[in-house]
Amino acid sequence: MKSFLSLYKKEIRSMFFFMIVSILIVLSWELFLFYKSSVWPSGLVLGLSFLPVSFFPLIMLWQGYQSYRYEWKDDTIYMLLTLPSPGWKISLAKLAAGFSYYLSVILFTVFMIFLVNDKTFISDLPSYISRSYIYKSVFFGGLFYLVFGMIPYVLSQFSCLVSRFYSKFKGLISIVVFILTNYVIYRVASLVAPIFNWVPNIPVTNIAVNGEATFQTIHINSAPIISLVLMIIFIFYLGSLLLEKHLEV
Amino acid sequence: MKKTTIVTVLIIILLGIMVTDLNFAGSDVFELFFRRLETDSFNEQSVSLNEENKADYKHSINRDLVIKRNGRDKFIINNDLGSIKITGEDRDNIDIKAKITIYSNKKEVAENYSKKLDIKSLKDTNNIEVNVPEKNRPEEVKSVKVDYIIKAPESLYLQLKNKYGLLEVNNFVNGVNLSNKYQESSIQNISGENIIINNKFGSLTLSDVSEGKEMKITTAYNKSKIQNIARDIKINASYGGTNLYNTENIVLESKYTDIEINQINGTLDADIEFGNIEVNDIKNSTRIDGKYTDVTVTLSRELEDYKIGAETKYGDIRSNLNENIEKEENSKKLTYTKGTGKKKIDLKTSYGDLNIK
Repeated sequence: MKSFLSLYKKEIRSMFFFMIVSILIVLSWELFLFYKSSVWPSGLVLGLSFLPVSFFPLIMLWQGYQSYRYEWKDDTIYMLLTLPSPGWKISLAKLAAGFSYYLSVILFTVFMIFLVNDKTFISDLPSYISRSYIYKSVFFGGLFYLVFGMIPYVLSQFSCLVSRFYSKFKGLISIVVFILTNYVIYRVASLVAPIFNWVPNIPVTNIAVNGEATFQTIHINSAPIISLVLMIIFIFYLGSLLLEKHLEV
Repeated sequence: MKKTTIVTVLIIILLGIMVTDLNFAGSDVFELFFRRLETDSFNEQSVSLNEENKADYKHSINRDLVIKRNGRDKFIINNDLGSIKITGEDRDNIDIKAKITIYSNKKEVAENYSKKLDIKSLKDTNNIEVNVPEKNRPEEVKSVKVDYIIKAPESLYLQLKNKYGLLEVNNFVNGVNLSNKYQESSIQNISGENIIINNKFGSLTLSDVSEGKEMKITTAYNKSKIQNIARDIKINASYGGTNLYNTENIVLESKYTDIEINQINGTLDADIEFGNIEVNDIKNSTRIDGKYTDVTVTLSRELEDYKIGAETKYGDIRSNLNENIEKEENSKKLTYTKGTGKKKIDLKTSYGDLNIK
């Protein structure tokens, strides 16, 4: 645990500057919107305040790639591999640090969105949209967004590790491996999904408001989601194995 | 063998598999994953009035009622949850069978309340209205659904309003005013003076309407199939798709809807926004005015003595009329006359193309 913590701290230190820059960019954007909120329509300000959220998964893609790239660039990979820690622990520390970064910027952005925007629209929501429905939707939406952002992180980490087998064209090989990995995980997840059909489905309640409000509960098959998560874990483990046993520095 | 060589071979093999797979399966490679997420519930039209209506238990009872017509002309039902299947017959009474379903989280409450529910009829000099009154409804009862199956005199004027269930109407000769939301409507073999049909959030199939006064149709958020209509139609369609076959004069207003008209025996007067229109076999005067609309028209071989005036802004005109297309700044125009030019075909659109065949 101690070794994991020290690895985690090292990763956090390495991305601290980037985290501060990200938070400052978000802060500037939200302050700009706050400044414009008296002039622009409140709906526009609300919509634009969510804009940073669309960039975070892309940043995670870059962060995943960078998490190993900088080890080679700074020649710290020698030290990392000589540590008495298994590959999965090193990868997990990087993943945990990436997740911390991701969660921090999301929470900060949500906090700023809450501060900047006029909240009267919440009380103006029709009575048929209950508070519990809003909380449930926000919670599951947030959870989906978190997982959605971590997938490119793991895949780009793996792509970077595979590219380290080569001395030239690392960037190009990373792109090819990233595309291939996406193909493999979705294809295999689709094919093995029926194995997990016994897992209960996920109920999702939709609202359609067009003159009258209607609620419809649909059930999403959890089997492909489970097989996709297992494939991501497999790719993560494969990357750790490559790092620990097969990569030569 | 070197590790780099093994990795390279693996990458090449996987690339080969991926390219071959994509070549054969195309987008199905990724679509399959998302298809697997679907369950049967995606195709069910089980819409509830509100979230609180979801219940663990349901109890159904059947009720029958026969009503004597006694010279009354109008039959009314306002059904907020359920379905109506009504057939017109050569008879003098109205035979109603209703399946009443009570939704509650408590079995006892549903069963006890079901005993209090029955079909009631309200009659005045000219109208017969049918409903299932929900007096003293316990709080534990989430909702009450009524599915009617009715045999009625074909000469009744129908005024039916239904939600969250199928509306099926057959064989009525004195007009109808029908409204259905959130489920499919199937209406066949109708005649009479006034015909008004309103269908939203569920598909509409309408066929075999006799000659008579102009009928009015409103559709939204659905697919509509309208055929064999021997009278003029005024149709307002939004957010969906409408297919018309074998019709007389049509006055159309639509937005966000794709329209296809085949075998139109009368004229067409159409205003369209954000949707495409295809009219085949034009035999009479036609006016189409579109915005963000691609217009495709096919002229009938029977069509003689016509004049086409076509104009598009920010689009193209394609035609096999061998006529020069005038170009001005952002617009293109085509004028073509055959014979006396008696029948006018005016086609106008912006941000869309005109195809004239």
